[in-house]
Formats: sequence, structure tokens, C-alpha cells
Amino acid sequence: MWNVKRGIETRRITAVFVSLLGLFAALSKPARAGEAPPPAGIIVSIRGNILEVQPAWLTGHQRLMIDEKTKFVEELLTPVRRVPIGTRMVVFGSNNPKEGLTGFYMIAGDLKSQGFGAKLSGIMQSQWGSYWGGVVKSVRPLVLTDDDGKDITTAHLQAHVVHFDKAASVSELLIGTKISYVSDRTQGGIHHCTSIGLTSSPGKAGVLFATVVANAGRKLTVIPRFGSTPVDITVPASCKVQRQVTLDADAIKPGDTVSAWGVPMQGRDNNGLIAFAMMRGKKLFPIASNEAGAPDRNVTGVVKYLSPFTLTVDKGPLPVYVTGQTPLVDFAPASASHLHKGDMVMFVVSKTSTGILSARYILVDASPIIAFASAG
Amino acid sequence: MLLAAVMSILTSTPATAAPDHASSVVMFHNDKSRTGWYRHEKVLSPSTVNTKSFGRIWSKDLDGDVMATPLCVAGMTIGGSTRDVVYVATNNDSVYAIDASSGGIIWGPKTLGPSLTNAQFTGASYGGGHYGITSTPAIDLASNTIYVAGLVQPGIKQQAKAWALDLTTGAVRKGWPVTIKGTYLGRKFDAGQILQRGALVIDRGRLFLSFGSRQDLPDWHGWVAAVDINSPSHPVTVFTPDPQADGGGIWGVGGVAVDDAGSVYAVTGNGEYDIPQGGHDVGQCVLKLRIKQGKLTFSEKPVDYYVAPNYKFLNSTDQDLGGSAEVLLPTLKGSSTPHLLLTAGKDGCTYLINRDNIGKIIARTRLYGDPNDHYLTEIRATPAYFEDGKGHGYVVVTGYDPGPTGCKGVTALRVTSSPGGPAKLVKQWTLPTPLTQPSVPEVSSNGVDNAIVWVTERFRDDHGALDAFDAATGAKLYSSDENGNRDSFGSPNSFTCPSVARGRVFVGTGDGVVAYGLLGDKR
Repeated sequence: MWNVKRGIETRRITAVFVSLLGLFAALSKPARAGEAPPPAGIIVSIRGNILEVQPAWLTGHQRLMIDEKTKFVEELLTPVRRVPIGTRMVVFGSNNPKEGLTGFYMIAGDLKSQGFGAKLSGIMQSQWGSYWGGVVKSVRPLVLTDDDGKDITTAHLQAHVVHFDKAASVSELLIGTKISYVSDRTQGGIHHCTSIGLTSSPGKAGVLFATVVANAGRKLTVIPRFGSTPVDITVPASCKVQRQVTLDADAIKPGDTVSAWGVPMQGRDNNGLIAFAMMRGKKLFPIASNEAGAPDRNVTGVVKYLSPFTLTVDKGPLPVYVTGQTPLVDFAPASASHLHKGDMVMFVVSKTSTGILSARYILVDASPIIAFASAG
Repeated sequence: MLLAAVMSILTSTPATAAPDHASSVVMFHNDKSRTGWYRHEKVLSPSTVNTKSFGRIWSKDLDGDVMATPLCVAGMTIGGSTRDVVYVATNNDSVYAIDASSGGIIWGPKTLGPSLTNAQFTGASYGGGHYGITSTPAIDLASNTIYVAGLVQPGIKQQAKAWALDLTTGAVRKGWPVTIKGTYLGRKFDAGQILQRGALVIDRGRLFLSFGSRQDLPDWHGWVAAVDINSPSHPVTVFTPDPQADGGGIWGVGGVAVDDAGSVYAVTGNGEYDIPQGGHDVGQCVLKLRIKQGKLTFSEKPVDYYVAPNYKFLNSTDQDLGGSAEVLLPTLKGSSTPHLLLTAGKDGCTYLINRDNIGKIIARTRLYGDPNDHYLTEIRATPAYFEDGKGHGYVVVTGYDPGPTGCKGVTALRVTSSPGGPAKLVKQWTLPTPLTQPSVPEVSSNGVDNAIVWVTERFRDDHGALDAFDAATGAKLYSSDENGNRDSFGSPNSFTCPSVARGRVFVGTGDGVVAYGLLGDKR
């Protein structure tokens, strides 16, 4: 029976090690939905206090609930050599009598808030292995002074970055954002999050589906599709604006040229692409333009079969999995100045250092795309 | 005792080849009121159900996950042989007819697909699961037909279909399948958005289907559809409780229920509610629908719907009202509210509703969960109903976490009232310890005697258990975990319901179907 009352320290350690082991677990055996919760995923929808997340290596989605007590942190990776002397941190790794201590994963910050409230004393053991910690005395070699004043030297490092947590805001949550989470799981399957970590990414771009409330030229006020509080979005001159035109799927026939944007199927026995969007002709889905260098995510081919839907691409037949909400679309020019109250719009936004949302791209008449996952 | 029980059913088997209507299980929870009361059980009783004499008698791996409750036709003649036949539908869009005594396949798989892969269903990039027939079919013995509904994707578009199959051969009836489509208040039914989890029901020549979402992935809208089974080419009539906003999923495994007057009842999950603002959305509501001039209609009048007063909070915390569907209780004589509906929510509360004035709730009572907790998923199982020899009626409600009045796992409540007063529920018994993800309960009895409550549990180590409790006292009679090597089953599913028929209990699993019965029963 799943024990929802386990201590936060165990959960945190579990999350850390499951992070490391997840990939290997996925390669050996895809997990069934309902097994132990994975700690990381990509937000595919936000509705009220509920986040729908596509876990990194599970079939199906998981539902996370946040409340006023949920802590939001942004995870920053800092090379070991740049960690300030005096930083308090914990190393997870192995303790081999012959080779000494080897660090696999290192985490720093306000340890109490991360669940490591216990005293750091020598080499400690959890069900997942050894860990030790203290205040950084030197980084070459990595020497930590524990709470008893004893120096502990990490002889070998298999990881060369330290994970720092920086306070973040709930407003950082955008569809497409990759997050990790520490949660209590109810029997019913919902995950009540005590902590959510946002993975840092260049530009912090994310997708926001919203309804326009007001248009003041270079500033739009919108209500997010799954929220109720108005949000302002600036629209710089460089922002590209298009209108989505939905096509009839019955119009697609064998021999037609079709483009698809999506994510490759994963797992040893799987082959093909899960389509987030499809377009007639050779096209690139606009918000995937920054993935142009990832040919396995954007394909163009000739329809070989309708059932199962298969494209003939350069490398041969490619099964394309069309979800129930995969749009078949084309794009028409549009202008932000023509946006009106009530228009349904998809934004690709970046968040500036001052917290302002700035639109990179706007797609008018877009509906939320199922399983949007910018990072795969 | 065992011999007597077996002889009893042997002598009760009709000599003719016609199926035994009374002791067959032809739809989810036994009837269109969804009572979950099988009152023709002559073999299984509190004295015969125990670890020594009762256990797993066969299991059968099928071509897909079984989310549907197995149905059973007693005394079915196929190929010149008369026997009890179990009908099982799988997520591979297949249907099987299986010999209830041996587990031998009589016909099947009758595959109606192609079903949807995980990738097509939610865009999941892992796993080889399928979504096909996810609801419990309905059988019409008069026409020797089983109706099933499922998702298919023959090309780019996903479709929701209903089929009529010959019970004897599995052949698809002429004029079928029917593709579900239609529009309600401008909202068009979109098969790409839905999961058809609610059990089917037949009433007055119509097949009713209900639909929820796929994990609330946007866009989605709940739906009810009605198919004219005598003229399947006639347009399907549809209704959505949230035509203007996302939500209103009718996802409880019980589907909709139908009363003797033909009114259709549904309970919705999270979604907008904006009737007072002039809208038409009724998320987190109990609804009474009617068929008028061949179409599903909803009056939007308070007498025909109840909205949870805290629906905004329920929405924000995903505490669906509609997870348990509804059960229509038999007339409570002597009460000012004789026509009752009972439902229950993820919030852990039961909702006792007056069907004659739905908006005026009779009682909301917390059974399970901590009221101070904000993330409850307590009750997602259709309650069951049964009566004892004193003329008293009871409801049985399963739930997850202990409640403030000590309810754990399974709770039985007596349905009663003071003379001329409104109905009320009075707790009779509950379990001493919680169960792990208890299923929809089913009650078997021989008339009003020997009542047993049947529940399955779903454990996180991928094994399931079948439990039996004395319905009069709550005393545990049997758990397959007590002899796990012999009796437990693997890959349990959520929100399932065991079915009981003529001395056997059938459980759908992630691998197929498992049957339990008296270990010496050679029928």
C-alpha cells in the first residue's frame, strides 16, 4: 500500500534518485500508469489549481494540485568550481572503502526548506545509498565541513554541477514548462504538490492559450485559458502574427503531401511520431520554428496509408499517431492590431527579467493543443 | 451445504433453451436504476463464502484490458449447448462470449476496432495500451442482442461508435454500427475529446451512452447520446451539460440511469455552472433529462437539476461530483420524498436527492475523507442498494480515506424516514479498517436473504483482491488476499465492479477476466 505519510526527507531523496534512475528504468521497462510517481514532466494544461503534466517516462498524464503552501523554485545548475565557499550542500553518491567517496548528484540551498532538516553528520545512509553534506570548505577537491566540524572529501565526481534552488513564482508556470515536483499522492491518483521546481531553459519560452480582453496596441490583456486573472502581454514589433485555418481531415488522401510536428515515440518497440499538429503541404508549425534543427520532430512526407496513418518520408514509412485533438491546419497572415475582445489566441511568450510576458509569436483562432511538449 | 447449494441451482435451471431472464446480468449494476442488487443468488451465501470453500475457479487472458463489467446470460443456448455465458468487452474493441463454468471461449474475439493507442488517445509517447470499449455493454434478451460502444480510429479522425451484436454468434446486426454525432446548443460532438466510460442502458427502444473527458485535456465536453435501436439509421440525439465551456464530463462508470417514466438521470463532473447568468452550463450537477419528440432535452429549471453550492471550490480542487454516477432507489413508502436518487462525490459526501424536485437536496452527508483536506478523491463508485427481510432498504457506499464519523472502506446506511417525513440515511455498519482503492460495490442475495457485499481492491503492487462482506453486519466473509497464491488477480483496474451471477463472481482485469465460485462446483 502506498504510504502517503512518508517523511519529506525520504520523498526528496527518492525524487533525486528516481531522477537519476528514471531514464534507465524507462529503457528497461516502460512503467505502467499508476506506479510510483515520477518527479518530472511537462505541463500540458493548467486549469485552476490543477496542472496536467506529461511525465518524462510514464504513459498517460498525471494531475498535480497546487495550493497556497506549494513552494515554487527554479533549479539553477552551477559548476562545482563556481560554488561559493561557505555554501551548504549535500552530495549523493557511493562510499567505496578503496576508492573513497564518489558524488553522483549535488544539491545546495536552504536545505531545511528542501526537506533536509536533519543534522548533517558524516556519511549517512538512506535506502537509496550514501549521502553526506555540510558547508563547502574547498571546491578542488570538494571538501565539505559537516555539522560536527569534520571535513569530508569527495574523491571523485561523476556530476560536475550543483543544483541550486531559487525562489520562483506561480506565474512562471506556462504550458510547455518542464517541472519537477515533490508531492503527496492520494489514493485517487492526484498529486498534491508541496514543491515544484521549474527547470531553467534559455529564454524561458512557454505557451499560453488565452482569450483577449483588451487590445491597447503593443499591449494585450488576456484571460489565460485555464485561469481567471487577467494577464498583460507586450507585443513587440518583431512578434509574428498568424491566423490558424482548420482543414477537414477527410480532405487528406493517399498521395497528398503532409507535414507533421510532434514528438517521436519512445521505447524500444515504438516507432513513429505523435503529431501535435499537421499541415497540408511542406510546412513548419510556427511555434516549432526553434526546433527546426530537430528533424525527428518536424517531418514532411507523402501519405502512404490512412489507416494506420503513415507518411513516406526520406527514410521510408513513418507511422504518425494522430490524437483526437491534433489540428490539421494551414496559416494565413494576421495582425495583432486586429485582435478583438473574445478572440482565442495562442501565445509563445518569454518572461523578461522584470517578470513581464513578451510575445514572440501569436496564433489567432488556435485551440489548446493536446500534449504540447516543447522539450519532448 | 456446498452440495445443497449446487443442487439448488441445478434444479432451478430451466429445462427449456430460453435464457433465464431473471437471473441474468444484462447491464451494469443489474438494472436501469443501477441498484447493483443481484437478488437471484442461490449458491453464494454467508455460510458458503469463505476461504476454505470459495476461491478463484478460472481466469482467462484476453486481447486487451477489461474495464467493462462482465455480463452474464443464464441458460444461453449456443451451438446446441445450453449454459451460462459471460460476455466480456476489451479495450482492443473486442467482445467475447465465454463459458461461465470453464472459462472456455465460445466465440471471440469479435474485434470491432481499430482501437486507439495511448499515443492517439492522449498523446502519450510511451506504452502500448489501447482504448477501445471502455464501458459496460447492455444486453437485450428479447432481441438476443448485446450493445457495445467504443472508440475507433480507422483513419485520421477518431470516432465513437455503438454496435449491436448477435448474442449467439457475435455477428454485427444489420444497420450497425452507429457513429455518434450531433449538436446541442451549437456545440458539436467531437469523438476526439471523449472517453466513453459510462455503462450503456436500454430503455424504450433507445440505447443511452454517456461521455466524459480524457483526463480533462482541453477542449472537452461531457455528453449523453441516445440511439434509436429499432431504427439505427435515425439521427442520434445528443446533449452536453457544458455547451459553452469546458467540462461537465459524465464519466462515472454507472453512466446514466433511467426511471420508470423514462426520465434520464446524469451526474456531471467539474465544469462551468452559469444558469443564473443566463448560460446553459451545468457542471457539478445532478440532472434530470427527458426525451421529447425524439430528442434529449433539459429544462434548465431548478426542479430538474441540483448544483453543488460549493461547485467553484469543487472545480478548483478537481473534486468531481460525477465520479460515482447515480443510483435510483425503489419507492420509499410513507415518506414525503418517496422517489430518491443517491450519488456521491470525490469530496467524500453522499447526496440524497428527491427525484420529484431535484434542486432541493434532502441531505448531504460526509462519509469519507478529512473535510479540512483540499485534495479529496474519496468516492468514485456507484453505490449499491439492497433490502432485508424486514422490508428495510439499505445503500452501500465505498470510499477511500476514513471519514469524521469513522466510516472506513465500505459503509451501509439504512434508507428510512419518519412517517410523512423526508428520507434520511442512517449508518448501520462500516469496516474496522479502510480498503485500498475499493471498487463499485455489488450486492448478491437470495431474495432478501443471505445478502453479501462484493468489492474489489486495487493495490499499488499491481495486484487486486476480491472481498466479500456480510451485508447485514459488515463482517468479512472472504478476501482473495487470504490465499493470495490461489486467489488473487493481477493488473486490477480502477472504477470496476464485480458481477455476480448464479454462484459465480466475475472480475474484469488488465489482462482479461477472472471467475470466482465454490471450489467444488463442477457445473
